[in-house]
Order: sequence, then structure tokens, then C-alpha cells
Amino acid sequence: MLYLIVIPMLISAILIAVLRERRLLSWAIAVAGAVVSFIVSALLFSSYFNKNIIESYTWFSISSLNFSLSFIGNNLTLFMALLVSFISVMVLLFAGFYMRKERQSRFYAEMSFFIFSMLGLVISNSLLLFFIFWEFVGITSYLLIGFWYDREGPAVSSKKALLITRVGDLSFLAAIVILFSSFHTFSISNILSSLSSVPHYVIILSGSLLVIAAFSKAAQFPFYTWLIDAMEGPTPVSSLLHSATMVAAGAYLLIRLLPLISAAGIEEFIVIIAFITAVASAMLGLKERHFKKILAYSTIESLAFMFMAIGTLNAGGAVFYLFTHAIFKSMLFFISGVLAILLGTYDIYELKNKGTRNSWVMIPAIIGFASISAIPPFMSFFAHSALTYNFNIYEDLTFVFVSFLTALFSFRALFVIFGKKAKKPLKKEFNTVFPIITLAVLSTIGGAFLYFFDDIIKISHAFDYFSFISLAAALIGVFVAYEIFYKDRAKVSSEHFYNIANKLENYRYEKFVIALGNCMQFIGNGIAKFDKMLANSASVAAESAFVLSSKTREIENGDAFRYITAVVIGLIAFIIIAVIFV
Amino acid sequence: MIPESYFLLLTTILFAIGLYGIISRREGISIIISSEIIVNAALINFISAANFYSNLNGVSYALITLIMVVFETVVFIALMVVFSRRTGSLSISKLGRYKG
Amino acid sequence: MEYFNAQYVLFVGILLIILIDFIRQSLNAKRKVFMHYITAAILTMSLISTILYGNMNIHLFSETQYSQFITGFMLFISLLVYLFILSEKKEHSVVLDIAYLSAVLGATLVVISSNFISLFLSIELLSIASYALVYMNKSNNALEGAVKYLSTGIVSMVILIFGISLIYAGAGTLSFSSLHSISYLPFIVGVSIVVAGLGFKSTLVPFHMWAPDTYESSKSSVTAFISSVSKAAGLIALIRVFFFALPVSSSFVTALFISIALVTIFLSAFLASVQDRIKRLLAYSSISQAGFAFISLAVLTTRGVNAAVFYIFAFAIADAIVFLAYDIFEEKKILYKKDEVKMYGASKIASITFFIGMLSLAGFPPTIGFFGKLLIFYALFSSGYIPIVILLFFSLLVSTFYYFNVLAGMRITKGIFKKNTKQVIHKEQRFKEAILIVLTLALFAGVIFA
Repeated sequence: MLYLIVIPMLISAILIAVLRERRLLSWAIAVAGAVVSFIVSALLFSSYFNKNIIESYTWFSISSLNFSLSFIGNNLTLFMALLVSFISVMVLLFAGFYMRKERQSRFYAEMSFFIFSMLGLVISNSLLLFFIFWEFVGITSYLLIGFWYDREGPAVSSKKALLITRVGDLSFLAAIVILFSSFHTFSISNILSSLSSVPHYVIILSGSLLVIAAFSKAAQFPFYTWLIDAMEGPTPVSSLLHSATMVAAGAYLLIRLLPLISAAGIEEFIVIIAFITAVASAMLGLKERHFKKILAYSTIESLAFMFMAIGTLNAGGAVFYLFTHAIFKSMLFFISGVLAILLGTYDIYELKNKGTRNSWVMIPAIIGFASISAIPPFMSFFAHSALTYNFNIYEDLTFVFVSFLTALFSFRALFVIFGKKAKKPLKKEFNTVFPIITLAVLSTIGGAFLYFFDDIIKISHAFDYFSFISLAAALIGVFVAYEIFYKDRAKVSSEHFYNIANKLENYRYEKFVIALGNCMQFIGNGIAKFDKMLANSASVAAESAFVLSSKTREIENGDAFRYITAVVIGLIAFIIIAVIFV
Repeated sequence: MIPESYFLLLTTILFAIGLYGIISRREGISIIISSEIIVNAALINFISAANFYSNLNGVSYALITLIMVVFETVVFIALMVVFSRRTGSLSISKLGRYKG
Repeated sequence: MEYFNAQYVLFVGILLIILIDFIRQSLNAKRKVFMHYITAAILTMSLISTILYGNMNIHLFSETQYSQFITGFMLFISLLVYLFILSEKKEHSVVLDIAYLSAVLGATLVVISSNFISLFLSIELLSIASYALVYMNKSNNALEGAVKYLSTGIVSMVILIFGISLIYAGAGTLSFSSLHSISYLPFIVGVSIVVAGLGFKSTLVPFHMWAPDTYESSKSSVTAFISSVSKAAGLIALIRVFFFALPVSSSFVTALFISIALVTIFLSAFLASVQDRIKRLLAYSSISQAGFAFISLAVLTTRGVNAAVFYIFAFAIADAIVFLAYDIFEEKKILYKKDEVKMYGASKIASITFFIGMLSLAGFPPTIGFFGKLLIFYALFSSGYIPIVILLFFSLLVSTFYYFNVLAGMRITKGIFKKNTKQVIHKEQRFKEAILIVLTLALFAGVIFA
């Protein structure tokens, strides 16, 4: 199993050390490395199928603490490895198109390093190792968001991403310390098998810390702002790190530790936060004009869906949705990248006027946005019905509302982008067509292999009537989006819901649309305000810390006499304390 | 025979005088002189305690201390000479290039 | 082989150098370079002898559990820092060699001293030699640093000796093995004074104020020495006194120590985050590292002390790396945070090692800084100081902020793969970079030593 992670690491090292400016060659090597990783994970997957094998290598020990490299091979971990390496191949192919102007091989080195860390993360059995890879992906994400370090945006947002996820990293570390001091082992499987042997508060504390860690990595409420800013990075990076794999690592952490979460009894909390996130991100997505940021909001929402499944202890559903989401969302990012490179903008209203109706882009885009909204026959419809399997009635009802919102905001983007019958032929290239078509086909026919997935990850699945109610809600959403954004093509902007609604007076359901428009705008504004407030309070905190520090530094005024006085005062304080208390 | 506690009282007073001297004057030389007072207090402590415990170790400790402090004083005074030549003053408050 | 150990080798070496220099001067020989080679050889030999035979073992000095490891890494760092100093273009005087060797000797003696008076002697030796080192390049800036260091240092030293004399008056002995905690007033006062005296060397608040100025004003390679080896010696002295000599298990002492450490960590973290000059920021970060080591010592359990020793090792290496790398930048006039853009241009290897060193200081895996912090958290947590651990996590967040402010926007890798404007890279710089690489490897491999 070690080979799996060694290969991309070696490739990254080679690219860093040897190749400097051979763009094509380093691209080819990176792709080849990813393909090899994919093959290796496929082989491992077939040989470890339905087994549960732990491989341990002793690493080192510090004063009776043993640190070991421990990997676990079972259906879940190797399925994840398969997914990661598959998406990596696709993304690297696409990067050959998107990054063709960049002459440095640094990008490919960092991407290979990311693949190494992500593969290590999914197969590691030791919490400590998990954390190390977790930090690796964090740092790679920092490096890759800030890939264009000489521009203002990426430099700032990469730091923001690092600092926000650092909150989660530290709480993860705290959880590890707590778990280690009560279980005396880092091994996930050992911890999960002896959950009942420790006091309950340990479980609750560490479980909550892990949830915070997962939320910050997966950009859930209230940490979600970093993911939106992370869209400043190159599109292949957004596609691989910030939608398909890295952010999903948050959900994956909880999936791995699901027994601990359920023992801690904090599932309800996860579900509530997930619903808040889903509603908020759909609302914010509705106001957004930047294509990639719309996709980012949708990513946040999809991650919230995974957390809903996790919160209802439905690991299979969460993994299946993770898989589905990775496929269609990376495809949508590719499309955004293709349009941005060939038409020169990410703004959906500008894109609209530039002639986007190329069938090889539009049809996959329709598939993608339909997948976001979980419309049959696409795979995500099945994934939705799997992830809602354990929902109770309230959750089901909320989910119907969320489905409506999702469909509304995703089809808004679709209808705006492809809303004008104009065509400017877009140049086809293997590097763009192949990944997009492959992923489109996969997300279309994937549902047919439901029972195959069931063999792998035990999906509890049933088409209860709520899946169809959700579907109906989604279709209403599509219809509303169609009416608002497609029919009325003139001067459309989401800020002008109200005006649009007025224009639609000759429709029979005018009242409904107006009310809906008003309502949406009201809630959307509220959320946007809250978002701003959050950002403001953070900056106020930073500001006051800065003022405090500036005051403190006046103590150190460069006068040696004052330094000596400080020593003497400290000394006298010590003596007084010692005399009084000891 | 003078009781041990008298010596301790004496050295405590010397120590306090030394500390006061250190924080009341800004000239480098007065710092070293005040420090010497504290060192003397320490020496008295060593010797009186050696006497009290009938243990000659204390005397040797006192001698070692004495020698070591002489070295330190020499270094300090040498530096002060350079300092006064460069700045024309002995006040260590004159420094302020590095701060904050 | 009884006499073939670090301290004897260093001691004989110092005498030898003085002798050879005397002969050289009387023969009017001009070349001084070979003196430096002798010094380097002496350091190497003492390192080898430590690894093979451990430390010296005579009445005032005795080997303990950790001392071989500690002396080993101190000598290792000292040797590399010395080679770094050596690789500079201009010739140094022989005084540098003597002062440097004496400082190293003092530091290694602190590790094994088993008596307060020998502890005092060793610290004095280390201090006096480091005053000389700080003032080595005789500039006005160095003078300021040296005066601040020396005037604070001399006050601390007389305080320390007064504390020791009170302990002697209270207990009648100064040997660590025969001391035991007693509640006799002079004794208690003496112990508290000793903490204050040792706090100076290990830069604990409020005895830290000299440190940023001195670190900033002296040559970076010298700073690398005093912020790693010399500070490590101060912390080790605290461990010797409070863990081996006076196992005070009073919860009050622990509370006092922890609060000192927390104040140290937070004050330095906040002050570091408002600095503009890189070197001063590094100085504050170095102070905060001392706070971490001290907080782990404060719990006074074996686990805590293990963690402290390991952490001292971890930050000593990382500090040496960042200051030595900074030395290369300093030559290229990269002084302010906004200049970090140019770091890569100055030296690729230096900028990468600098980055790794910073990661270790900030506690990112898989550097030893991370494992050190992990051990500290584990020690604190298993002794039940949960709120402290939470506070420390918060401080880590602040420190991530300022470390990454230096590395803002990842500009440090600016054009890692871009062809540089062809700079003439001197042989000296290559040599320096080699030293940095060795240290960085040690940073990763260091976990094995433990």
C-alpha cells in the first residue's frame, strides 16, 4: 500500500528537483504519475476487496511513544483512493489546457504533492498520520491558491484560507491529544473498537473538536468564506482541491470516525449546521455573478448534503454522494475553465453575450447543473435518494425546500450562461473534450451501477415518496428559474427580482412568483448582511489585537535602564509571591 | 557568637540597597557598583553559613564567586570604556536604536 | 578513555589555541586561517567524543539521563554555526575562536553541573563569552546590543549568586543530590531568586527584554548561537534545578511557572505580529519557543520534562536554521517583511530552508517542531491542564498568523522555477547553503535521536 503514496511523492520530488521550465514534459510526467496511481489503486482495490487489512511500518519513537505509519486497506479507503486518483488524472489532463501559458513546472510538482497527500490521507489508519496528511493538503492548498502570488487576490485569499482552516487543524490536533491520552493509541481502528472503555465526556469533547475540524476543512457554516475566496486560484486547483477531494476530506474524516460521532451523540448538531449551510449557500449563490463562485457555493451546499447524511449516520449515502459530486462538479469546473479561457471571463452575464452555445460545452453543462439539482436520470438523483434515506420527517421537509433552492440557483446559472442563441465556435482540444465528456458520461450512466456501488460501500437506498416530492420541488425550481432567467432575457440580474416579477404580470402565477422573488431577496439580503457582519467582527478582532500589540511594544522602548528595571521588578514580584504563598 | 539570622538580616539589607542602587541610577558604572554590593551580600552569606554549618565549602564558594565576578566586572568596565568613548556618556539610557 | 569527552576536549582545545596563537605571534606569522581549522577540529572532536563516551564525570559535574543527548545536539549546532561563521569572507581574530569555544564549553558544562556553584560558574563562562561574541564586529549597533545584554546580564548574575548564597545559608549544601525542599524562609526566597536569575538566560518574561535588541543587533550567525545553544543551556539549567535538585511538587509553583510561560508565549506572539523587521520577528518567535519549553517543564512530571528536552532540541535546531538563513538574506539587504519577495533571488536554498525552519517553529508536521508540540500538549493534557492546552492552541493560531505574514502570499517561492538573474554565487555562499541543508536534514531526522 505504500507504493500508492510513494509514486506521486517521487514524481513531485522529481519535478521540483530536476525540471524547471519544461512545461510539456513535466505535464506529461505528472499525468503519467497520476495514471500509475490510478492503476495501482485499482489493483489494490481489487486485491483488498471486502477485506480489512492494516499495514503498519514503525516510524520512530520518542520516549515510549511509538509513531507508526499505519495504513488500512478496505472498500471505503481504496474506493476513495480510486476516486482521488481518477479525478486527478482528469484534472491534470485539463490542466494541460488551462495552464498552457504557465511555463513553470512548479504547478505540476505541487499538484503531484497534493495527490500524494490526499492518497495518504484516505488510506491512513493512524490519526496522527491522518493529521499530517491533513496539514499537507492544507499547505498545498495554500500554495496552489496563491499560485499567482504576484496578483493581489490570490496572495490574500491563500492566507485567509490557511488561517481559517488552521482553526480546524488546531481543533483536530486537540482532539488527537485528547484521544491519545485516553486511548493511548493513534490507530483509528483501535480507537473505534474500544469506544466504551473511556468516560463519555472524552468522546463528546473529542467528537465536537473533530466536527469543528471537519467543518472548517469542508467550508461549512461559519467557516465557508474561505472557499469562495479560494476561487482566485487556477481552475484545475479549484476543481481538484476545492470541490472534488480536499474539502471532501472534512466529510471523509467524519465518515471514518462515524462510530465516535454517534457515540458522542452530536449528530443532530451536524445536521442542523448542514441545513443552515445548505440554505445559506444556495441563497448566496443566487446573488453571485462569478461562475466559479457559483460553483463554489454549490460545492459548499453539496458538502452540507454529505454532512446531513453523516449526521443521520448514513455513511454509505455520504460516500456515494461524495463520489457523485466529485464527478459532476469537477466537470462543471472544467467547463467554467474552458469558457473563461476561450471567452475571457468568468462573469455569467458577460459570458451570455459572447456566444456560448456550443453543444459540446452546453450538453455537459446541462448534465452538470441537472446533477446539482438531482434530476433523473443522472446519478445524483440516486445519490440524493441514498443520502436522504435516514431522514426523519422534519429533515425531509426541509430538504424539499433545499432542493427547490438548489434547482433555482443552479439553473439560474445555466439559463443565464446559455441563455442567448449565439454561437462562437470554441476550439476543441483533447485535453478539454476528453475529461469533460468522460465525466459527463459517468454522471449520466452512473446511476445504473447503483447495485455495484452497493456492493462496495453498503448504500441503504430506497425511492420513498419524499425523493419524488424533492424532485417535484426541484422541477418547480427549474421552472421558476426558466421563467425568470430564460424567458425574460433582457436586463436580467438577480438583484432585480422584484422588477422581473412586475414584468411577469400577464402570467397566471404572477402572485406566486412575486411573493417568491420578494421572499428570496429578503432572505438573501439577510444572509448577505450576516455574512458581512461575520467578516466585520473578524476584522474588528484582528484590529483590536493589533492595537493591543502596538501598545505593548511601547514597553520595550529601547532604554536599557528600563530593561534592568523590569528584571528587578520581576525579581521583587517573585520574592513577594514566594514569601506570601509558599 | 553572632546568630545566623543577624547575618541574613544584614545581607538582605545590603541586597535591598544594591537593588535600589541599580534602579535609581542610569550610569553604567553605578550599576556595576550596586551589583558589587549585592555580590558582597552573597559573599557574607556564604561565609556566615560556612561558619554556621562548620563546613568550609562555603568559603571556597565565596572565593570562586569573587573571582568570577571580577571577570564579569572587567568585561563590563571594558565595554563601558568603549561605550563612553563612542557616545561621550555613561548613561545606558542613551541607547534606543533597537526598540519595539 | 576516561578523559576523552566533550568538556576535556574543549578545555584542552582552548589552552592549545591560546598556546599556538602565542607561538604564532612570536614568530610573526601572518596566516590565521589554520587557527580556525583547529577550532573546527576541536569542536568536531568533542562532538565525536560525546557521542562515544558521553560527558565528563567529576565531583561538581555528573552525567544524567539526558545530558549526553543534550550535549550532543548542542555541539552539533555549535559546530555547524561555527563553520558558518568561518565561511565568511573576512578573517576573524583568534579571540573569536577562544570566545566561541569558551561559550560552548560553558553551555556543555551547564548540562552536567550537579551543584549550584558549578552551575553558576558554567553560566558565567557562557555569558561572558557570549558578551564577547555579540560585540565581535565592533560596530555601533553591536555595541548597543552588547551593552543591553551585559547590563541586564550582570544584574541577573549577581541576583543569581545572591539566590544561591541564600540557598546555601538555608540548606547548608549546594549539591543537587543532597538538597531537598525545606520550608525555611531564606531557602524559599533563594529559590525564587534563582528562578529570576535563570530566567534571564532562557528569556522568560519579564527577564526577556534584552533579547530582541541583542538578537537583532548582533551578527545573525552569533544570534543563531545565542538563541539556540545559549538559550537551551538556560532552560536546561532550569530543568536541572527544578526537576533534579528541588522536586517541588507544590501546585503553587506549577501555577507560577505556567503563568510565566503563558505570559511569555502570548506577549511574544503579539509583539512578533506587529514587527516590520524580519530579524526582530524571529527574535520574538524565539522567545515564544522558550515559553513553550518552559510550560512543559512547569508540569514537573517526567513526561513533561521529556517533552521539554525534546522541544528544546527541536527549537534550537529550527532557530539556528532561520537565523543562519537570515544571515544570507541580511547580506543581500533583505531586512523588512516587505522584502521577502527578494528572498528567493538571494538564495534558493536559503529561502527553502528558511521556509522549512519557519514551518517547524510554527509546528507544522512532519517537522520536529510539530512532534515537540505534540509531546508538550500530551504532557499537559495528561496532567490535566486542559484550559492551558486550549490557550496554547490559541497562541498557535496567532503564531501561524505572523509566521505566514513573513511568508505572505507564498512570495518566498517566487519563481522557484524561474531563471534568476544570473547572480554570482560565491563559494562561501555555497558552503553556507550546505550547512543549512545539513541542519534541515537534522530537522527531519531529529526525531530519530530521541
